Amino acid sequence: MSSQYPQGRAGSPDARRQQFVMMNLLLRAVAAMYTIDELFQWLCYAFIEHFQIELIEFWTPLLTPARTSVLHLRTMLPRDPNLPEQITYNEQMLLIAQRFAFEQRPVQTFSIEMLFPPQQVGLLHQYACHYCLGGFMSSPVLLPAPPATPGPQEPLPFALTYLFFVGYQPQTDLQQAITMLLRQAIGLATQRGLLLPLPAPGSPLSRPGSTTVAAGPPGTSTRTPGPGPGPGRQSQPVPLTALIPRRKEDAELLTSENPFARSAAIADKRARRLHGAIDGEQSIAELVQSTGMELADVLAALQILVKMRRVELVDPDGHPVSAERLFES
Amino acid sequence: MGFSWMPIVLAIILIAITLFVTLRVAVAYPQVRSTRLLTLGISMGMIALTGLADLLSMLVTSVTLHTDWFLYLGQACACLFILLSLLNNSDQYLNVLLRLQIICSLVALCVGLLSPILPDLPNVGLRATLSGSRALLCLGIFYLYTTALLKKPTRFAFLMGTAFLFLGLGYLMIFQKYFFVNSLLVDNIGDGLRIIGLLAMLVAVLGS
Repeated sequence: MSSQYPQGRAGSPDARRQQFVMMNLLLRAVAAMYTIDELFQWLCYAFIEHFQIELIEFWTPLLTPARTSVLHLRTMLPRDPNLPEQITYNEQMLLIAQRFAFEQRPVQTFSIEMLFPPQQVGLLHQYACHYCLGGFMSSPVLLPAPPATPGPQEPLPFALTYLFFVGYQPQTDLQQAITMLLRQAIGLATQRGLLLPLPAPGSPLSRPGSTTVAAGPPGTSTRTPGPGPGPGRQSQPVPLTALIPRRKEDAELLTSENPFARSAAIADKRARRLHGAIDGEQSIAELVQSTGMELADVLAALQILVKMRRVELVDPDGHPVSAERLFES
Repeated sequence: MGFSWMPIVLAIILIAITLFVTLRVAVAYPQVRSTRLLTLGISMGMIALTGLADLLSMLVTSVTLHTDWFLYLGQACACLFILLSLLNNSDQYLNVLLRLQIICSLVALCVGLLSPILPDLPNVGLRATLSGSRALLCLGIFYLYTTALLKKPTRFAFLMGTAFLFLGLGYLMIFQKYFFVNSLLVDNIGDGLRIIGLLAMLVAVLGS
């Protein structure tokens, strides 16, 4: 597995570059995935390789036989396989995951000393875990129950709490790369059917007041709102790669602007190639696959076409999306 | 005595300029990738072919060629699709329009190929209607360019607007010849106006 990924530099890797590299790999890898757990596993391996993460934990809600939802360690991967389990999976780790799940912030960074008791800090430092990046992400889709778990196997609204332990002081670009990649991964998983669509209005999961419950320490529980619309919940942005480019005619071409002028020509070869491949149905992710172009090239080409007013972006529901969004990300 | 070089000169200028625009589109299209531009190219190609057919009918005397059907229908069809392509920017709309244009152009070509066996236009009324439709379409295109010019004054919009204004006025003059006795004068004035229009289009296309 590790040979698939380029070795990151010592210290903080070039997060933006690694983000593109990992995104490209993800776009190809997701086509061969059939469960969300495969995706979580893949993400763990990839994050560790590309961003020099020491330990990754993905926590998701799980329905107990008593039909209460508890936070469950879904996927965990340490860089060092010798990292003892008592360090990675314990009461304190659950409490920290619950804290991030409760606060529902996209990402926060803490030094280990701020989160763990001194004894545990020492152990974590031994395995180069000096900082913890944690966050929460939800999406209006359903998460299938983990395989081979006791209790009801019905899917729950998607909510992901993640913990990343790193040896270097994480910069903002790493935080952005992690949240962006996770968001893209969730979008791709939704497209690929690894996450399930929400039931039709009127069914139990979509009723107002339906909640998921993130378990606190044994014997306590905290209630968190479900993914439906409600106070304090923002709509989940569509991942960049799920956006669909559509060709359009420059309104001024041949009316005000001379189509024979140099400025009217799409000079960039990649942009011309992408323009030819755009059919108004394929998303950016699908275009990366169908054209065989790198994601970075597709985005650069799209930027050119958007600037030339030759392409517009719409979300999967067909609603126009501001092109500025593309360049922000 | 009634022979005039004007129609032959006009036909040659028409063929030369429209063929030039068609070739220019063929060269530019792979770079520009604009459906609207392709529509213009096909329209200009069609007009070039109608001009060629008209010229042949004037020069070839051994066979009677009734090319007026092709001349009027082909040119009206070409102008109609230029006009329609300027009305909407949607890619879907322009693609449908392009397909429709190809079908209509092929039908018009078939009419052109059947010129030796087709009957002449049966009456002046039909001839005036077919010929006059070109004037309306060209003036419609002129209107769209004027609107574009008012929104954003550019040399290209000005020249294209001028081109279609003179083409429209030229066709309008020709339309009158069906109702006047001194038709040759009206015809020549009409041809002259169309030559000015074509030259304006050439200047527009040459500028970059």
